[in-house]
Amino acid sequence: MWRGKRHDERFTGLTVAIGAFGSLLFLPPLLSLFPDDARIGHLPAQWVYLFVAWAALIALLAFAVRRWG
Amino acid sequence: MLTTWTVAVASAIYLALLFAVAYYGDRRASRAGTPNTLAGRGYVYALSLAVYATSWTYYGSVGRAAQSGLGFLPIYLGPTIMLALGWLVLRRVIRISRRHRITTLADFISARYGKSAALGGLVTIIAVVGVIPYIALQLKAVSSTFEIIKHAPDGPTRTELANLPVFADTALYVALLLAGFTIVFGTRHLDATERHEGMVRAIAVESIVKLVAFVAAGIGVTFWIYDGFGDLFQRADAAGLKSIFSLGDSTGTWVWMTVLSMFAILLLPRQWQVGVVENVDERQVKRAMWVTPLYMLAISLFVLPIATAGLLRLGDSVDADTYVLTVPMDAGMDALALLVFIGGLSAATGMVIVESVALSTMVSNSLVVPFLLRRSYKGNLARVVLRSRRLSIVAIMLLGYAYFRLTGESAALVSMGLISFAAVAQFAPAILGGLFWKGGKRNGAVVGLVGGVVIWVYTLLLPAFATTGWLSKEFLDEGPFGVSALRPEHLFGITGMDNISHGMFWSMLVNVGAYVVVSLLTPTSPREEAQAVLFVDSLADPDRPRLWRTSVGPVALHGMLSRALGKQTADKVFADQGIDPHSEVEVGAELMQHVETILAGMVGAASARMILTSVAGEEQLGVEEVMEMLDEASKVAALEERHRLARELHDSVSQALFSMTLHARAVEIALQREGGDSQGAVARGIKELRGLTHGALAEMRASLFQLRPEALSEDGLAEAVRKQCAAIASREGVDIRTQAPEYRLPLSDNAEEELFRVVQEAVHNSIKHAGPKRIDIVFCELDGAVIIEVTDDGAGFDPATTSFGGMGLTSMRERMARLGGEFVIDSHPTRSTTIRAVLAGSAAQTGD
Repeated sequence: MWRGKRHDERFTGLTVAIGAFGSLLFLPPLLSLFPDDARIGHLPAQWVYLFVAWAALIALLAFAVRRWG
Repeated sequence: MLTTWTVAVASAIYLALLFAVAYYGDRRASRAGTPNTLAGRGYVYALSLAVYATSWTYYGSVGRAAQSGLGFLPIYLGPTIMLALGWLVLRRVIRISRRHRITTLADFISARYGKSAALGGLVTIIAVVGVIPYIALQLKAVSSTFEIIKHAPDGPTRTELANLPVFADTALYVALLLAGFTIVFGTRHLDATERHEGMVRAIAVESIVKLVAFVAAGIGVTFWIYDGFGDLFQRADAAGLKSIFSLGDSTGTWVWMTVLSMFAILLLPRQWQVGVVENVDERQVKRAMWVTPLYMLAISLFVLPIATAGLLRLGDSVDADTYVLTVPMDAGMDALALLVFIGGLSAATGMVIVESVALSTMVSNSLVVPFLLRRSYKGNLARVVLRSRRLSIVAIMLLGYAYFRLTGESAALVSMGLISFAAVAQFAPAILGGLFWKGGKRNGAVVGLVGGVVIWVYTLLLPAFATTGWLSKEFLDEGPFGVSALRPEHLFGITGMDNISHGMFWSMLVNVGAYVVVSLLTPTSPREEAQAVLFVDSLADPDRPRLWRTSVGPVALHGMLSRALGKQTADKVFADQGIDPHSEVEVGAELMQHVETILAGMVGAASARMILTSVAGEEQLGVEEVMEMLDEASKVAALEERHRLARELHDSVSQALFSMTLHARAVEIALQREGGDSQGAVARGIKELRGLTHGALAEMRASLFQLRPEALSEDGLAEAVRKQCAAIASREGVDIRTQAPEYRLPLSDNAEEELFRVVQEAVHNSIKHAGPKRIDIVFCELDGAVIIEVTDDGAGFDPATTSFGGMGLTSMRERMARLGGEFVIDSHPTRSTTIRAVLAGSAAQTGD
């Protein structure tokens, strides 16, 4: 019973931290990391950044659920 | 080339298939004993949450991307963040809704703020008004894509679309067809949980279909028509398409969109329906936390590429909202175009079905039933509820259709959807505040909601009407009566914000401000306080306080239930509770509570309270009762503190004492080995030291045991007695031995508790009065009966002549009597004493 509650609180805390990290990635100032005309290869840098950050966030969530959920 | 017939037949087949899925799902759910695996259900749940992606996503995102590049993306990033907080927020909402049988968003708000019927009605009206434009946009999407295919290769002109006769309009037929579908699967029967397994499965299938169709279109466009992402974006660069490489209008807009969509994923009526009401197990949320965002990522990936391709190939010649369909058609990919159309149909139907189920439940529970009750309606409520739901589904569809016809071609998909988002965002302060802040009051919620909605109407809805020509343009440009400070989109002269950011800023300012300030100024009412504690501390899980303090006879209660829900349901409720409806005894608070939750599941929390109050009379929930409930919450806190203390003592002091006994013993042995004097002062000192530490350790274990009352149920009776006696033995210098079977004795918690006290008392008595050297405690089970004997070798007494009062014998006897067990004292002045407690099998199990 002790473990259950602590376990649950830890999971909640970690996922909230991941959510906060996500908002950090998706909102200014990090959002404006790349200017509109920056390109990675021929791809728009902002487009690449946002999708990579998004995928990383989802991976982190999936990992948290697997490992601590 | 695609013919109208191909499209119509394909759509019909698709809808029939969907129907089959829903039908099969319902059949499966109604057959007991065939539960799906939790894992499978988790995916179904996560996919059903993707009902968030409607035609708006499907067609509208591309339209928005063509205009403002990545500006469409916050609508999907916001939900990702909110779902990351799912275990904090969504799980709480689910837990509360399950416990109180709350089945709609309106009901949730009403229940939180003292089961106020007025508040529930207000929320329902806001939700219906707010969401109608959103339903309209789904119909618009289906209708206009159908017309595009019909008029291919030229495409319909805007005037053609705007002047479509009503009876030639696909949207009307789609609306009616969906109303029928929704009635069949959304309101077939009344169920206290309001779950629709069949519908949820159909929605999950639709989510897969729209994803596959959209991704197929994306792959077709990017890799078939063009040479991959690089090629596409390079051409866009060459063509000087600046708009698609931007982040939208401004970062301010971006932030507001993110906030708006965070609320929307939770607060749109359809999201509430699939996310909260249709949730079967809290653990499903964990899967949805990452699967639903992954879904959104997959469906957003090709938005920008398709928008780019549309701009490159078609430019302004067609509406950018239709690029997903028109680009493949333009490239002659008919099969892909058909798939895209079906995907779009699926996105629209999924949304419309779930949204209208959610809204119709709100209308019936929070508007119709309270209205009838106020008129002291005496008929069968269940029938009225079902009928009003069916009627409101049709009404909602037709309202959506009317809105679509009246706004015509003026509004882009995205702007219509955002207006709805902003409307439901008004619920956020009342709901999130209500979840985490006990001080939130009904008056605050009402004033906040009304204020927020008035601003919403003024800054967002009226301007939307103005663009359709219902209102004069002057109203927008110069303000009402020429007062420029009141221009709806530039309130108090604010400029530089787009209309959504501007509307959200003002409405949230008023809403949150009023909610907080009015809540702080309103005096506390006992019932509201009670509900606040129940909601905010939902996870702490104290015993549920019984809120009913007045009571009625079973006859009246049964009569009321049969009137409201039909005789069968009423009989079943009473049979389940083992109560004879014709008996004379008063109904207990528990049954009242049970009946209230059942009613709440069917007609909503506020209505349920009204119905019960009509038979039981208004109950007076005084300050004391509320204090009692608050007390329960503080008891939980105290318990937690004791746990923490016990844990720390165990980890630190107990461990240290244990090592000390070992070390003392080791020193003793070493001393002997080195030939020290075994009777000398050092040896005696060490021996004494070892005894003391041993005693301290035993005391510590006993104290830890006392700190954690549930240790008894964790360890079992015999083990608990053993630990307790070790401490007494060491303190008193008595040899106490415990004998018990290897397995745990079959005793209920209550019986264990009472027996533990009996043994404790017996040992205590023996030491105090008999001066024994040794005490034997024997536990055994014989023919299902549990027997406990406590025997000492001290001085006996004559049970016939001794007064029991001073010896705690009375309390032991009373405890055993309460358990329905036997208590025997076997003693004589010349012999030792044995105390025997016998508990027969049945008494041991129930024990209360």
